[in-house]
Amino acid sequence: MDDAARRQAAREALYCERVLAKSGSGVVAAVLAGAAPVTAMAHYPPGDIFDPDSGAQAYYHAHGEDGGDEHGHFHCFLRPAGLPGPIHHLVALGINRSGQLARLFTVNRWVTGDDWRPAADLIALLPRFDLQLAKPDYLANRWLTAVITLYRGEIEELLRQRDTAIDAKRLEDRNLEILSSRAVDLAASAKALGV
Amino acid sequence: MSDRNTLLFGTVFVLATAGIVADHVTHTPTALPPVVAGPATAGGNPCAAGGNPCSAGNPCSAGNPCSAANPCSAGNPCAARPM
Repeated sequence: MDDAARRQAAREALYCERVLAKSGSGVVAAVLAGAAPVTAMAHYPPGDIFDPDSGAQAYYHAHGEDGGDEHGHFHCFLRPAGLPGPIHHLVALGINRSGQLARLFTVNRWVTGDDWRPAADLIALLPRFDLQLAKPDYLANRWLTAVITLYRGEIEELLRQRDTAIDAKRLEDRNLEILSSRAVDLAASAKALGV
Repeated sequence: MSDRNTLLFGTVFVLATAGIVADHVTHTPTALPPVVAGPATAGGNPCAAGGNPCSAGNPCSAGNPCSAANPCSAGNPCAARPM
């Protein structure tokens, strides 16, 4: 991915955040759509966000236990063949208690129960993640798409690290949950790109 | 001289405070609501995707191709198979 595409993604992500903030909202708040309190493990929005054109699917949830500074995370999937068809977990976006993107991470198969594929297959799917939907919130959906685009290189590396951290015999090992993780700072990433 | 310094210091202090307040107002992220425990889930896949995002209860799929109210969707993957 070239820097021009990353710059454009950074601009778009920041634009979404700015407009939402100016409206007294935020990416997570927009997806929660007024839900308060947040019910642990529940999907926001109910039924997930799904774009049948791209096969991209995502939802936000929180685990409820003491997650340190993390409020919850977006799980991002892709259904390359649409519905009904296999579903692959691409990456999760950790959100801190201020509502800001804080980290990217991958998880073991038992966590999401998806159709496991090696990193190379998932990396090939990353460019297809695109949520062009008005609901639950257009800006939040575009933000999710932009973040996946901006951090494609980092996600690729996390997926490779995931495969190094696990073998086929341990995909259901409940002692292994998060397989690779990386802290990110959207503002800093944008600044580094000159945005 | 002392009064002048006090006035200058006071002015700078007030301006700085106003700047901090303005920055706080414009940049403070929206506070997220607290998380409360939901129904206990044992085993399974705690973070699995929604099984069927085209279910009737999902208001977020684009143009909801599975909605019964949408008679024009082509290749509706959720349509009941013809008998």
